[in-house]
Amino acid sequence: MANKDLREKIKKQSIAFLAAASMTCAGIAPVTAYATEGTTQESTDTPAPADSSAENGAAPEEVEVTQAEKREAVREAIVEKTQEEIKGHKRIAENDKLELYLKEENLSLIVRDKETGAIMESTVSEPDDSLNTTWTTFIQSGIGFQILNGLNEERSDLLAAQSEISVTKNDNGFTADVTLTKYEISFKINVELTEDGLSVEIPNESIVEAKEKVTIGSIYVYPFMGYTYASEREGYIFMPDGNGALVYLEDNDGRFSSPMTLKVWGDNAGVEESYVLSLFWDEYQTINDAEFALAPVFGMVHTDTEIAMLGIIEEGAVDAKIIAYPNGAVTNYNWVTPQFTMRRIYKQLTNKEGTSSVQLQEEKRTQYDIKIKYLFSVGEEADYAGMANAYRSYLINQGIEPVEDQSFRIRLDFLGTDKENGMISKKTVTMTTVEDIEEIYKDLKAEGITEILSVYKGWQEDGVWSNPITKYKADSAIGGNRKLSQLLKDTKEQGILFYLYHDALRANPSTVNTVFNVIKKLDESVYKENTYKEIYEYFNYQTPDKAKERLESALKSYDKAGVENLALAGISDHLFSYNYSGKQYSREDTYLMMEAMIKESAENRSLSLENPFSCYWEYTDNILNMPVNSSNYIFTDEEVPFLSIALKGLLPMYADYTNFEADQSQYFLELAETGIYPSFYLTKEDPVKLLYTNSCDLYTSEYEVYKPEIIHYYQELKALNDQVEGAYITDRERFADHVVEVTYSNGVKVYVNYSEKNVTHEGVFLDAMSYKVGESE
Amino acid sequence: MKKWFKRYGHIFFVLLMVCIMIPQTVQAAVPYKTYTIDGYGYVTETQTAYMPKSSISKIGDYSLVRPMDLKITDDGYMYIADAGAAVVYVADLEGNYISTIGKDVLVEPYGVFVTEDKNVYVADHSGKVSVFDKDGNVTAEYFKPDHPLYGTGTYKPIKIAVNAGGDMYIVCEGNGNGLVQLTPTEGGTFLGYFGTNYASVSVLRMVQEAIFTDAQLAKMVSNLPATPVNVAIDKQGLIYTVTPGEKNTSLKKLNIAGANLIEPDAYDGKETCVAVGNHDNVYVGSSDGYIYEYNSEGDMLFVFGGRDDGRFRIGLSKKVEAIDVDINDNIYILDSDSKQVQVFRATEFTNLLHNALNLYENGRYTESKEPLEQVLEMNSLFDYANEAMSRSYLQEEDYENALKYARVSKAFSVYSDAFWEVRNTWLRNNMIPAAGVIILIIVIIKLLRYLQKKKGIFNPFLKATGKIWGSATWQRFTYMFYYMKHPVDGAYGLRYEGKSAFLNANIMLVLTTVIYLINKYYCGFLLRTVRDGRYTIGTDILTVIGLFVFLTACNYLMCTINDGEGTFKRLYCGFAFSLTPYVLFQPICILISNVVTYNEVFLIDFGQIFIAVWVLILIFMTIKEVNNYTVKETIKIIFLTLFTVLILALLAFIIFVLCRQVFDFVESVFREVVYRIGK
Repeated sequence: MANKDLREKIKKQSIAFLAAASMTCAGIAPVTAYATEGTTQESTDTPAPADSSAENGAAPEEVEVTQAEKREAVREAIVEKTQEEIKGHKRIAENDKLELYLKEENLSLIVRDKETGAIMESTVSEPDDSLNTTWTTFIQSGIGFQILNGLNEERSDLLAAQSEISVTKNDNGFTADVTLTKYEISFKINVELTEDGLSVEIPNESIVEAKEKVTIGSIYVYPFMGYTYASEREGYIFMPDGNGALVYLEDNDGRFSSPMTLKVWGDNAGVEESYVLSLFWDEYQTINDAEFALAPVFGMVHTDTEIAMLGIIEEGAVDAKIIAYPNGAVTNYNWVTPQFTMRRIYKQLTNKEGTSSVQLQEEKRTQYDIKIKYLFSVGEEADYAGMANAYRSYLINQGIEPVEDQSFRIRLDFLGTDKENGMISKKTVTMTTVEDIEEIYKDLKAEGITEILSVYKGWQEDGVWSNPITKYKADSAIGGNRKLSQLLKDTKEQGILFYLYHDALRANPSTVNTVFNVIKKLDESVYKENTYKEIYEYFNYQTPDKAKERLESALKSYDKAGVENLALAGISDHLFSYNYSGKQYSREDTYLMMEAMIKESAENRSLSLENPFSCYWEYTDNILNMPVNSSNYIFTDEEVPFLSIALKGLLPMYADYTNFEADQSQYFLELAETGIYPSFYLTKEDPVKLLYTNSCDLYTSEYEVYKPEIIHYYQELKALNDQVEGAYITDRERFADHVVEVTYSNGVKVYVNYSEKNVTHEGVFLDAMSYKVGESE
Repeated sequence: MKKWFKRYGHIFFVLLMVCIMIPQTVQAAVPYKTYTIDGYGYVTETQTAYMPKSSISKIGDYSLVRPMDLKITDDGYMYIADAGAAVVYVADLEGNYISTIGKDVLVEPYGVFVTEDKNVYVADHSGKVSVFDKDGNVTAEYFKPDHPLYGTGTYKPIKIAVNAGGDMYIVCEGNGNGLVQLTPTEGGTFLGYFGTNYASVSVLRMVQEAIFTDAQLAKMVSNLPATPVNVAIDKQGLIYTVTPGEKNTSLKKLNIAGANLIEPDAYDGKETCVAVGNHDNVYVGSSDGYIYEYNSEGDMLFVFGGRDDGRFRIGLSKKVEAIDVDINDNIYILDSDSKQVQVFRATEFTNLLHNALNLYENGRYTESKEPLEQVLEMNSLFDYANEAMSRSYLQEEDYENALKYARVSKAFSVYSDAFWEVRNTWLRNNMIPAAGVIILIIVIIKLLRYLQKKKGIFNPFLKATGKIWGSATWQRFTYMFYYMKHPVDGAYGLRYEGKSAFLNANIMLVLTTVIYLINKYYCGFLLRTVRDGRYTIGTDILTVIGLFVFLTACNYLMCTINDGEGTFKRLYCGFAFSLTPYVLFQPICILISNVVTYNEVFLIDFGQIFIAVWVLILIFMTIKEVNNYTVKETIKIIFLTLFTVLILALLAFIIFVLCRQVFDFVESVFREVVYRIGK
């Protein structure tokens, strides 16, 4: 598409979305200012920008960018011919597509695309003079640091730390030995131009910290890679929030005072969250959790020069954050960076109430290599869809093969039993028995619904919250082992994928002894996951060792009983650092254990993972609870289905339950657009029965009620997805008239009209709130 | 319901798909949960009622500086009072600038009100109310009334509402007398204070006022009634006020006479604003960002939103100052801290509910059932819908269904009415068979008695079990019936005839406990005091037995030092036997309680009083007779016992607190050691 058109489109989109997504937050205080008193916090968080600007006396001024300046900036960002030197950077390597330029004294890089001449810079060559010294050197430096000096934390960089750099060039790039003289810290960095892009690596063993108590807190690797200044350029930052979110490179009028921070692969339960829990009526947790950053990716797209950069964290993602600074947040620049945490300052509580504590620097550095891969795409591919395509190719190269069976299935999950309080002991509330399920399948078969995936929750003895599961033992209320085994057999014959739900992480203190073998937070207090419900008030997390032992015992039992399909939860979407019997374990340690567990479970078995992080995608046969949207951050200007574009055709994805969507018609269209398969959570009985159980938030689930909708969803979405089976999504565009156009690799196009008006889009007539499937010319 | 859905489900779905929704943009996951309330006043989760739609931080080119109030008119204009810019902005609902009102006239506009004919009233904190016509010209200004009845109250207008006749209801900061009511005649005549709150008087306060000196009283925080913080007016001219911290009068709906017509069943404590919706519903915003929606009776329908504690998520607020609704049920929330207006739109679910609300509140019960059923399809636990269904069925004289829905929603009065009818029908249908059964039973008993008399058919049985009936234990056990009727002789028996035995007393105690539990958890629904699904058996048993033993012990301690002749055993047995009326008659009360409605509930009340009085008399007689006291001494000992109870309870509390501190100390030391070693 022509450059101008795209820009026009973005503009239009931005107008359409501004109303929806832009939230002024001039007064928003920095994240860390809200840190809970008396609890551990991640002190290596990016220091709150408001703090730093206060301490350094540099608040960004609002900047007016004229049209002439914009043209000049775009002109400068295109270097027509191969040069020996660009802005003080010397050419050191090239391949078919890209050229790499290096400036040795600050390890600054410039990447130039040979075809279009578009360049991306990694440091600011002429800093904005409104900044203080700390920031001025930071933005000019290839690598940035948070240095822990005793219990103090300071921002530093190659220039400020008076580093000695010795560069050794090689065919594809260079290796640099860096010593931060000021802190006596040294490390090595390898930069290599590979066939598909650029690779940057800091090996763990090369890091040497010579001075006692002066250590690396965290590292920013090429934080300004692809940066832009204020609204000088056009494009957006891509953030992996939920399915995907974009932050436009436009003038924010000082709306933001903080950056947008995403923790890769979710929060760390072992350290306290960075905001205060404000409970409604002192009792109810009313805030929905944010979506996870499922994949360690980030991007910067310059739509005016048509170049897009996708950063993929290959090593070190477990302790990484992705931070986007839109202009106004500290500086007038727009930049996105990964930050790798190596050490924290944490609080150790010395009494139970948490009113007194001592601060400590983490004893050991978390041991991991840092490795980032940058993929560049240009021309028509220089947008989020292009980046998603690049990411898909990358995943395939990494050995994630397209799952064989990707045909459309409707996901119908069932709840077996739960518990409510009884006069003497807890009573079983039976919602869906094995026989009920057989009947429902029969009933649906009569309607022509045969392609089904089901996850059976609460099949185990003592109900859905009775964790951990150590053996195959069905609750007698649903029919016991005999009937369940029969159901497993029957479903296999009928071609229904029937999974048993197994939470391998949580331990319920009411059903199992949790005095030992549960994790403690870094501050030595036992971690409790509050449910804010009445029957079971909290759950503990098992230590990975114990979880593995119990899972293995369950797997053995499953093998014996012939259970071939398993839906694993808990371990697929939780990573934490923890304390156990006097030893500290890092998130990396946890990750290794979890991966081992998942790998073992995937052997000889069809494995389904709930919310799986990207590191487990190679083991799973499908993704349950795939986010359709993002988390609604105030920074987000547009939501894009980045992950579903990348994964469609690779892994079948199943959405969150339709039951709980208040706007079902819209949700339906979103499923049609993204190619994510629909999910329902069903019970045979009226969910009123669940009122006094921990499942009391399941307020609508009765099969009879949902039957018409299941039929509708099935027929419509099956027809749609059958036409694109096995195909990838190659492009996705959103137009100003609320129409989204999705193009598949087999030529099929899906048009979705989200507006309440009938629209004729490119000659295709679309009813209000509807979609249509067409062929591309 | 199910049948209905089967038949019309597809129509419902098409309806859903086509007409109800007015989607604007692709929505993300909503950051907050939405709750509704159950019959016990507890909140339960429900579908998202309102979704964040957009936010407005600039009116044209003007950034909001210190926005304090906002009003939306039915024809689609938004008025924002900006105290920082000292003007009122007029904008359309997207935030596009239209005009400015009151430049150089207003000083500190805190509140704004727009009448039907577009007159704009502005409450100016500097001490005036300015009125503008629709072109923005000042037509009147009202300053502090110099009416003798106005008193010493301040005049710092912060919010204002105006009725159709032009009478102004002004909220003045710090004026505890209520709303200032002004009429426009003669440049502003003070009509009086309106909607005054009452000062609450606590027991502590009463004690303090009785014993404190004047100087001490002067130092205390004065006990003035709380000032309302916001006001709204509906089409009928009813005035709504909110006052934080006033619990179930925090939201008031006042008629012309100032009488309150509403009692909210849920309240926040930090209410700052109120608005009237399009379906006789009321919205209340709290400063923490929680938005409440009530129906016209004050039943809470939804609460949603929340504080933005560094989460940076759209839809959360920092300090809500004003709220209003447009004709499409979009909610506008003014956040003075983040200086913006957040717009929320109603979801399909909420539209359904509003549809039902409209029909139901207008008395079209039968028609309202259809949307109500749809609401229940989407959330079968939605309490308001269940209750409305029960009332609709009651109206239609379908009592079985009314009963069913009333039971789910805990609508006690509907349940009572429906139950009366159902019971009536049952009685009518079963009167003759029931009478037949009763007569049959009487005949059989007579017959058996006759046979026993003539032939002695039960003799073998009596012979075989004769040992039991003759045993000392059984004799002592049956002694309780005697004790119940003859406490004086009974106590004598305890003292001199060896009738006291721990075994029998304990049996009594166990029976009492069991009956107490049955009464608590299985008495009739209308009389039950515990929530469904809540069982605290352990605590209950401990309470009954612990209380009994504790009181007995206290009484015994007092008796021993007051020349009492009773031993612990005798007192214990005496008190246990005194519970006999409870054990005998409470089960009858429990049985009856399951078949009474509110009309006959006095039967139960009477039974309870009867039992209580009897038990108390027995206890009194026990103390008197076992210890050989006079009446005067007995009364004295009872008071002394109560005093002992108080002292011992206090002692236990002190010991508990001390133990906890020691424990905490040990734990701190332990943790410190762990930390030092760990280092």
